[in-house]
Amino acid sequence: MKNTEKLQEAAVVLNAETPQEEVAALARGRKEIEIDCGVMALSSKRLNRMIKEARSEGVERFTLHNVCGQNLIGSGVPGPADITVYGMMGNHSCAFADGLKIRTFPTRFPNNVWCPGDAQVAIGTSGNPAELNISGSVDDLFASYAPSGKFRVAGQGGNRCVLRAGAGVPQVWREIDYDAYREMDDPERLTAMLLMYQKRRARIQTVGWDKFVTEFKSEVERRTPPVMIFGRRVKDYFMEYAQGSIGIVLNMYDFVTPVGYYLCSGMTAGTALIRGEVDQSQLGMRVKKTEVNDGDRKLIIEETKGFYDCFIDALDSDRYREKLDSLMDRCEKDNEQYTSGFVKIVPA
Amino acid sequence: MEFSVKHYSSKIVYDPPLQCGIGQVGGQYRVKVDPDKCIWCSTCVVACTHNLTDLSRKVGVFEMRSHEVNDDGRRVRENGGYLVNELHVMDLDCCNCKRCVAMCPTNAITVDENPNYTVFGTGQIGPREVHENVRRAYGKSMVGSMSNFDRPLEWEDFLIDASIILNPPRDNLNEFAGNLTNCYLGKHPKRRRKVNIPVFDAHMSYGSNSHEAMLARLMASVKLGRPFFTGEGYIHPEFAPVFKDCIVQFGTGGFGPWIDLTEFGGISMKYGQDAKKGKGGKLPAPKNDYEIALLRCIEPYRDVNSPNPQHLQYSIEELRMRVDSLRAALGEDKLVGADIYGTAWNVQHIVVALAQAGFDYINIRGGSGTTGAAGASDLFNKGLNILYFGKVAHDTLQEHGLREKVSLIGEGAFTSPKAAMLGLMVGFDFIGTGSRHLYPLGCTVCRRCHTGQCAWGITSRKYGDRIDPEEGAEMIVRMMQSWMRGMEGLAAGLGFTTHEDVVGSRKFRYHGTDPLLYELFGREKF
Repeated sequence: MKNTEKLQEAAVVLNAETPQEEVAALARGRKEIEIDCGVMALSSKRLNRMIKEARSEGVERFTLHNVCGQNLIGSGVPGPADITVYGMMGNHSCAFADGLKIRTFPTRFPNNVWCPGDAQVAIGTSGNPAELNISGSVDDLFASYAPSGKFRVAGQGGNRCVLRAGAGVPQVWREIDYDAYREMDDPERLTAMLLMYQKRRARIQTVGWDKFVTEFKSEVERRTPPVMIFGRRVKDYFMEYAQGSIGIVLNMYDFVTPVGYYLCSGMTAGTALIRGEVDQSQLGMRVKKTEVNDGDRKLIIEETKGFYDCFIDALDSDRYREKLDSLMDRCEKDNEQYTSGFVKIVPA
Repeated sequence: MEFSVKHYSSKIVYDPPLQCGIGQVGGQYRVKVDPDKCIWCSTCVVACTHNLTDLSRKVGVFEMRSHEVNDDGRRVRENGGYLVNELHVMDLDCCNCKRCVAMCPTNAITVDENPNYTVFGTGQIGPREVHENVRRAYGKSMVGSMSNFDRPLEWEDFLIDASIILNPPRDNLNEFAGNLTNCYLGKHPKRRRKVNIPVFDAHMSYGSNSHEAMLARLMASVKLGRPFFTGEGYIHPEFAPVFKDCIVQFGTGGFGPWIDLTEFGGISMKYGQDAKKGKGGKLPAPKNDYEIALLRCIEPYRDVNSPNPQHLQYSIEELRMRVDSLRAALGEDKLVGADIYGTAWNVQHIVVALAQAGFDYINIRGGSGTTGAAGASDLFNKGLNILYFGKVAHDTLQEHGLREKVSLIGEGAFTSPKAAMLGLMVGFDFIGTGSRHLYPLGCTVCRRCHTGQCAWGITSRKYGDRIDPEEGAEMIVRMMQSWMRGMEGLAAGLGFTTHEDVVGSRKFRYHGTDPLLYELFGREKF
């Protein structure tokens, strides 16, 4: 069913005409809601406020129609929740998002103008999305500073994508009981903090500093690093200053080299897996090319399959589908040969 | 009665310090008595009338104590033993008046500087600044004149306009005057934050500071009723009870999990720093232990680079989007600020752009960072005087009608309450001081922070348990309360009633040799 037909059939559709004070009432008791951004009619801030308001009423699934560059989609919206975007997400969307599943699709606006499912600058920056799937291309700084999450881009990435992305969020940050401190006055809060410190100090005195620090090792190893997968290629400074993230470029259009220059410049942890050729001159300082190992091969196959399932029907483009089918064929028919086509880049 | 006491021995006894610990490096002056020349005449005991440590004591630096011993050298009470003379010297009490030297009939006394007291720190932040602030932290009274005449600092070339005719002075101890406790960070009614003191602790990262040093500073800020600014190294989850008082910093390193942001008091965007001008930071691999890696969400025991160029912002147009993005993440009631380094030519354009973008406050650094993270070239090139930035930022924002939309914070070697007052008077709403908060924890500015070997446990995590966070917090609180008393006294003396009166008032005149400051604050007609 076409997007516009779905929109017409939806029971409740919020749009630019919907008064902000009525959003909560309209959303109450619903798990799913649709918002018509009316191309340029709904402002970024209003859209963000609408989603937040509806989310606070318990809505878990949002479908946004006729999106044309609205910023801040998903920012500050508490997860878990699903946001489906028909159109192009604007700058800083999904920034600081936590636990959200966000997905874009191309669409056709009411005036019959076709809009790709792209996303603009700094999408997903500092975010921890459960999944962020862009059925199009992204511009600069995609997934920059992202501590965790899964990021997929059907098309290509701009400059400085995956800048300084992290190595995963430890469980300790998920276990803080903020409600326990909310009603406390200042002396009580300070006492609570000192009590925690006393336990820490006692532990250090008991086991010694070196062992105390090593006790965090298991939690460090339990983290899941963020993974960023690009279908076509990425521009310069890919994975610059990376700190543990995994970046994969599938190069499904078989470019000779699918990456620009200054690749992984300043990276001190993490892995870039690039399908195609990478010349030494394209690398940043103090990083090196190396062979993929068994663990990398497993990861590449797994992520290629995930990528295929995610985008095979998403773009409404026969050529794209053909390229993706071809890539998947190669992956399935001869794993060894397919994964051997990847160059692995790690800190030197 | 026959006088039967025979002389047994005489010796000079140098009294031990009254207590050990932070700030106890002896007195400023070292008093030496040559035992070969001394004739035990007690002239020095009579001559000296000073005792800096205890005004109620009846003797000064010198005290002659005598007792008798028997043939075995044991003390005896009865007359008939041998006389032992002890000249006790307490040089903590010496003020270097030199009367003892002048009166000594055998020239046995020398008074010179105590190198333990005077030889540490840097040219800019030396023992005078450290001792003064540590004394404040111990709750000791300070010189009331606010005049730091013992060293020619640039701060001293300011003539404060305290004319009784032009600015009738007020008595802040007995009337509502010079009150600086009622301040607000941010101007927007929805999110401005009440602050009880116009002097902040500056951004320093968890990891650069030990857990204990961070905890002490954090607790002090909560007690003082002011926000606490984290560095870009994020913050420890065990500080969660006071997250609402914390403003986290987002730098080019972008370290941290960035979840539950609504629990924090705000975010500062770090567009520049004074310790490393125009550069990113580097956390050496040995300091990036498992716990730090957990907090920063990075791999452990790897060198960690914060990118040099400021990729955080692509254009002035994007600034507003950044603010909107942060507000969306934090909530409309939270503060969003910008930390910038005071640049030479275009600070006016930058502050206007930031204010128009909607930042709640702009924190301008004057380029005098003294941390161990600062490179030698940064220490030698300390940047322009922070008072210059205060003036141009305040004036430019006023010209553009933006001054009532944004707060200004100035950071840059404000070492004393008088310096902080000058900062407020040039146009800053608040003053930030980083290193000052480390002196009460023991810092002597030895510039070894980057090694992780700090013996005081301030910048070495391993030795952090040498700090008692509770006591450290109390020391910082007392130091800051002392600053407040000094500032409020001066504010009242200048005829000010509240914080708003002080900001931008410029009731002073510069008469020093700095051409930039003279141009700004000295050239006007008398």
